Amino acid sequence: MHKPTAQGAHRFWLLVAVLVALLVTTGRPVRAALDDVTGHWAEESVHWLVAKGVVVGFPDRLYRPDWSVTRAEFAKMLICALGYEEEAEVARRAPSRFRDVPSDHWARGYVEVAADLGWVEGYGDDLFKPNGLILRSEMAVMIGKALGLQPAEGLPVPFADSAAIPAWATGYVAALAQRGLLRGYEDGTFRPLRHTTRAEAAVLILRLLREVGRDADLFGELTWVDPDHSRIRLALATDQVEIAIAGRGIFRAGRRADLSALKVGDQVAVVLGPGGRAVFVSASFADAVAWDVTVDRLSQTISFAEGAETRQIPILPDADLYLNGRSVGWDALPDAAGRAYMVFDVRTGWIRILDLAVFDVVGVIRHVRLEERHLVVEVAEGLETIIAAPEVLVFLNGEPAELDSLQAGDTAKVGLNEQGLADYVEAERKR
Amino acid sequence: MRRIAATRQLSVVLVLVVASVALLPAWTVGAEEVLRRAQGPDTRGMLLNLQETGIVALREATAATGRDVLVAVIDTGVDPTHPDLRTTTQGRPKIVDWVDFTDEGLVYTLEAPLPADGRLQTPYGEYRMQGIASASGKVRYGVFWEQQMDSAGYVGQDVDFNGLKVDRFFVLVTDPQQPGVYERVYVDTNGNHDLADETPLGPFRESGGWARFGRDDPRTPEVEGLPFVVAEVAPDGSFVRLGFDGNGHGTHVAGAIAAWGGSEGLVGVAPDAQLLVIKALTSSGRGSWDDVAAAIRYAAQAGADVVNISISSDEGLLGGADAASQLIGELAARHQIAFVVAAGNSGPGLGSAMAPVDPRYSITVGAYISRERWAHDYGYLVPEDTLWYQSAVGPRPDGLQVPDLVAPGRVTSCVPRWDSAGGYATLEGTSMAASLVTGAVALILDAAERVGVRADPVRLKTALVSTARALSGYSVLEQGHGVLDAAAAWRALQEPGVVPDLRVVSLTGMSYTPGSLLTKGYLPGESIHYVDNFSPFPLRLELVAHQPWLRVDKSTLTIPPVQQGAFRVSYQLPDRPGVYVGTISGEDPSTWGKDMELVTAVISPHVFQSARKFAVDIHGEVAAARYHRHFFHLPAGVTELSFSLRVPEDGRGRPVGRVRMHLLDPSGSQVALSDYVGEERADGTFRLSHTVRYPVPGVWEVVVSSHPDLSDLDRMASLYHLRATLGGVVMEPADACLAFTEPDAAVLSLDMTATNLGAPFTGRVRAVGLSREGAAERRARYRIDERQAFMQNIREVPEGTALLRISVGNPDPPEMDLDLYLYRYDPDLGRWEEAASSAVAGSSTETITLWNPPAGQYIAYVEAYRLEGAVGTFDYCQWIIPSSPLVTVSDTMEQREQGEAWPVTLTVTAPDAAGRYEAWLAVERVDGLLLGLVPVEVQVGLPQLLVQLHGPGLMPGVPGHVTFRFFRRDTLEPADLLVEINGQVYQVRDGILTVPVTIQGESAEFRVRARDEAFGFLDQTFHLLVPVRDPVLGEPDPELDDLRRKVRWQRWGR
Repeated sequence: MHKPTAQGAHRFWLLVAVLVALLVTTGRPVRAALDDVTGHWAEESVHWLVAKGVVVGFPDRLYRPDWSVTRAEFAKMLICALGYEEEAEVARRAPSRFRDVPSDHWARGYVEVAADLGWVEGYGDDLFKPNGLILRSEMAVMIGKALGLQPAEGLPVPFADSAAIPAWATGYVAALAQRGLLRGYEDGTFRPLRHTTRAEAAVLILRLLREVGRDADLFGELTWVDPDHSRIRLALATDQVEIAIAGRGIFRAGRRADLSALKVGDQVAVVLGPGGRAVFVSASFADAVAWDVTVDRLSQTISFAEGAETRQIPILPDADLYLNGRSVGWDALPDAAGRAYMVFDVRTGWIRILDLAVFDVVGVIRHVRLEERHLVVEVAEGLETIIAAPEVLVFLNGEPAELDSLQAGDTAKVGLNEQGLADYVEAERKR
Repeated sequence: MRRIAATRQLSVVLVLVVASVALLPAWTVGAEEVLRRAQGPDTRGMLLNLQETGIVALREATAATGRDVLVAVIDTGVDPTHPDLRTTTQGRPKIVDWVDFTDEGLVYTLEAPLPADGRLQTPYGEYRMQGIASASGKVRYGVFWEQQMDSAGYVGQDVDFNGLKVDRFFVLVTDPQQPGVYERVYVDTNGNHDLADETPLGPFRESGGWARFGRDDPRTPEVEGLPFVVAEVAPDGSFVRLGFDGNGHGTHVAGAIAAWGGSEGLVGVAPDAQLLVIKALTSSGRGSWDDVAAAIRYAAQAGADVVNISISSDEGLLGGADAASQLIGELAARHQIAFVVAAGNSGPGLGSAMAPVDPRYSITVGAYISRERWAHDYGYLVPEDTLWYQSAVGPRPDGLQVPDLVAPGRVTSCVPRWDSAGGYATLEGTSMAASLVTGAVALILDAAERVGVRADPVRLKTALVSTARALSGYSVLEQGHGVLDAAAAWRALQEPGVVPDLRVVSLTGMSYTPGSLLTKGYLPGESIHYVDNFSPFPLRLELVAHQPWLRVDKSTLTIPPVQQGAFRVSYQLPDRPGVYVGTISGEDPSTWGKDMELVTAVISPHVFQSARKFAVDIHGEVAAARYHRHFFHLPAGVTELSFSLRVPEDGRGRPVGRVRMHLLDPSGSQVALSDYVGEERADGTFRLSHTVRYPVPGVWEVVVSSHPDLSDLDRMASLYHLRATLGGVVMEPADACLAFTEPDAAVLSLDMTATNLGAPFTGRVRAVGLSREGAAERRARYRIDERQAFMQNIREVPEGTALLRISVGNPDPPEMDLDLYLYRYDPDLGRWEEAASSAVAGSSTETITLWNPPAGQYIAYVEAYRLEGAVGTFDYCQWIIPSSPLVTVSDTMEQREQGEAWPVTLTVTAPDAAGRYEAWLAVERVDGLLLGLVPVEVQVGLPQLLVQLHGPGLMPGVPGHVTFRFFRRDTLEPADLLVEINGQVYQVRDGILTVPVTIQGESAEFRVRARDEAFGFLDQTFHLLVPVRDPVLGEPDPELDDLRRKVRWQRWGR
């Protein structure tokens, strides 16, 4: 403990002065970038596109997700998303083909290149209406053309208000909906004549980028996370890579997350920044369980009932396959299983991990006789004594366990081997 | 033996000295052969030529005659005595100037006092000069020697036709008017030592006079004597240039353009045009770039309106033609001169054109022969107009399109009367075609002048190419825009409108060329085209790709004035070998004429596959006087490549037609031109073949052409069967690479298959190397003649060399016999000793192989026989491969039957230094003969690539996109490089590459290969699956937590 020296005190006041000056000059406290999208349903998409440099916020660092987008703004987003900015810079110097895009219009180059690329068309008499707010149906047409899609004439449009879609947009709306790029509102409508918000535009542009594979630099399965040093390791399709993470642009399941919330086995899309460091990370993990499934080893699919329908899902050729807790090959898969736990590849929807369980006995454990390795289970018909095989696998509430950790009252699902011995026990204990 | 070697050593030294001064000529007139000397002009033939090209219609529409148009003919000179080249129809002099930029007629002079007695004493004897005046009282004299002329000249160094090449002609120069102004020249043409009986000549442009060497022999129809003019007299009289056409080419070209022979003689295209004769080529038709450049400059400065350049470079584009192209562009722009350039006679190989061109200003002309001309000249009934078979085919190596259009390639025109008694001859070639276009341009300029239409070179060229009539069955590379239609061009020229000034640069990553693209040796996936708009106004080009396998990313391209725009083209090529010629046009509706037409040609060659026993069979049918081209990809390390051509027989055992083949190596040089096979061959040969030893790896071209005379055989087309085969021992995979990527991987091995395609042998595969990449092998093609042996200084063969091998072969002419000797300098004895020789009589393929040769200086020495005085060319190959314990191969000495395939494993230990190496697999017969020598690339410690494939949006059968990302594996920085994806080449920019694809079925495979300089070898295959529609990707469900935990334990143990 010693008193601050005069010099030290001087330094302190200098610092205060600088801080005050900062506050005075900005006129308000410094905001975190884009904090007006925090918690917004489009938060991840906006941050993703900002990390890719496709969109920027306003100078006051807000994104204003619910403001509407003009036709010129949307043209610029498309041009930047698909890498034509430099050409827009050159085209800015040519007279526009549209009468209402004057030589000093900020978006002239973007509109011109978008027109060269055939993504935008004007209104009949050489007008583009650059400052007009873009309709959702107009946006659909621009996205469809940027993707090089053919309008899907004759394809049903899966929206309740499809009759309201202008004829020039129907084919594109249908084609985009078929690809899952347009999903409409929760009430099943598309609202084609509504203006597009900046949030909606961000989500759509991100879907467009995903459609052509330009959304992420790296995509793979997380195999290791080190939150302390902000490093992760990914298994890519053909390689392994370790990445340093810069910044806080980390999302899991669409929500902002800390690195520690990422789990091994997640699938991660990464946007790299300078120095090969990740500036944006989006982790996903999609899984589901189904009961009474049938397995088709030939077509490598599994099927199960979903309501009145039968659902068939393909399994990746290199998927991890498990049967009663044990890793197996395709040949060892049964034709049917009582339960299938499926982990999906989030990009394709194919199954990447399939865990099948075939239970021969299901009931509540009444006794565990360790010396004899007997489990006495109460089933509908009464008590049943099951002998555990030497290599029995036991899981208790999802954790690996030994036979001796089972106790009366646990619910047990038991699979038997060919000799009738229990080789797989899944136990559940009320918590 | 020792004695012979000693004499050879002596000549080695001589050859070195001579070789260093024997520069090759850079320019040559087209090698047009005189087809027929004629007594009179072929009026009907010329009429056909002019009718076919719209020139007759143009004359009728405009009454243009070429009046007041000055045409420069840069050529071998023009015979000023030809009766058809004396005046215009209105009696004005036809030739207004005659200059010479060669030294062929250069005579230096010495000063002497004017002899009082009229008898000049000189070292050459006494010359009488009675009555010849000199104002200063001094005369100058010199001598023109026949031997100073080009020894290969057509006139044969015998200007007086007395059978001797050693004559000399005394030349006297005087200053008759003003002291010191030397302007009068007397040449003792008859050798009588008397100048008083000679015609005094002044510089041609002032006096228009001429004289002739020698004396005509009245008993022969020809005129024995080369006519000449005085092209130049130095102001101080110190030298004189005698100008003459010792070849005839220039006279022929001049006649076609502008002859006026009245009713008896030839009437050229523009009989009132006047000629500026500029000699830049000697009597052999050769010259230097500097002379041609000086000639072009002179033409511009002398006020020429049109310049005809019917010459081409035989040295590629190194220096000369390219500099000429620039000069043409510069001068055409500054002086508004139209340049008409012959495309060259280097066809029919694809990309064989070498002519100097400027894409904006010059008009390059190829040659064709019409149906009517075939009938007129030979009586052949050819179904359709055909290209002349030797007309050069574009693009030039730098991508510029040649030709722009074609014109009749067979013309009867003036030639000197020492060559043809009647003064006429029929020649074939692009020179002739160019001269017709030059004449047409002169007519158009005359017509434009009369009615006040602007006809600057750019508008003129635009009008000519926009209105040309395309020949069916030929690509734009072969015929440009088609046949000249002068009348249509004239009509187009009268339309108003501006012509934009734009230039295109095309880029595939593998090549970067102005204008068009020709991709040979790889299939492009994407090309980018940068378009510079030099116009003072903006352009909006409507882009159209005219072939279904081409896709342009933009429908229009907007380019501000003096800015650059760009568009990308993607290629989805049919899965069949062939030549795919695509065109992309860009038209701005507000401008006049064709604005942009871009050619992108892709060669998809046949490949040799083990499943087909390394043979390719092609069955074709080709119409009379037409050709088909076929391409073959030859991997490295193959020792023999053979082509056989056969004409199948019809039901009665008669071969169907007559064909021959041109064989062109990967550089585009014609290696061989076969005889015709098929019908009407005296020896009944229906098949012939040609074998290339140690062929250069790359894409080879075979052009099969059908004889024009099929109608005489009652046929319209020939059938043919072309078979390409490999010989020797072939190793697979052919383009393998062993890459040490992990630091701890010290040894790698590669399983290969050897296949014996030749005769049975006993032998084994040996491994040699490692050599640094590219350091071991050396190849070149050299010239040789009988007088002058060829010597290759191998220099130092280092210690530890495992294999020294040299080989010569593939001679042109094929009957040339080559002998090969290898000498080593013995430092102990202090002289060169023969180390080995290969001198098989009558064979031109000679190979020397030395295992573990002693280190030292070596020289390879080649002698040629059976050349009959001509100059021949041959391939020279040399390998010096070090020995090292790092490479081994598993193989045993066995008998290998023909067609037998056996496995060998190459094992390589990583060398210490990072870099690129080659390991060599030598197939050695038991007696030491090498049957194959195949390189395998070895890489150590190069930066590795990380590749990602993203493509979730694919639907079967629907066009979509996939994106590849490329990173340096160690830094994760984006990597820019060239990659091959499923066989097509792309340039990756900023580490990202988006490729349009349409997949069939539920999955697609993408093989990504990269052999980029900056990165290690990459060869990965990705599988992409079509996504599930409406996937089950629900919200996180806490009910599943136990199962998630369990599966995590199962999979990751925690």
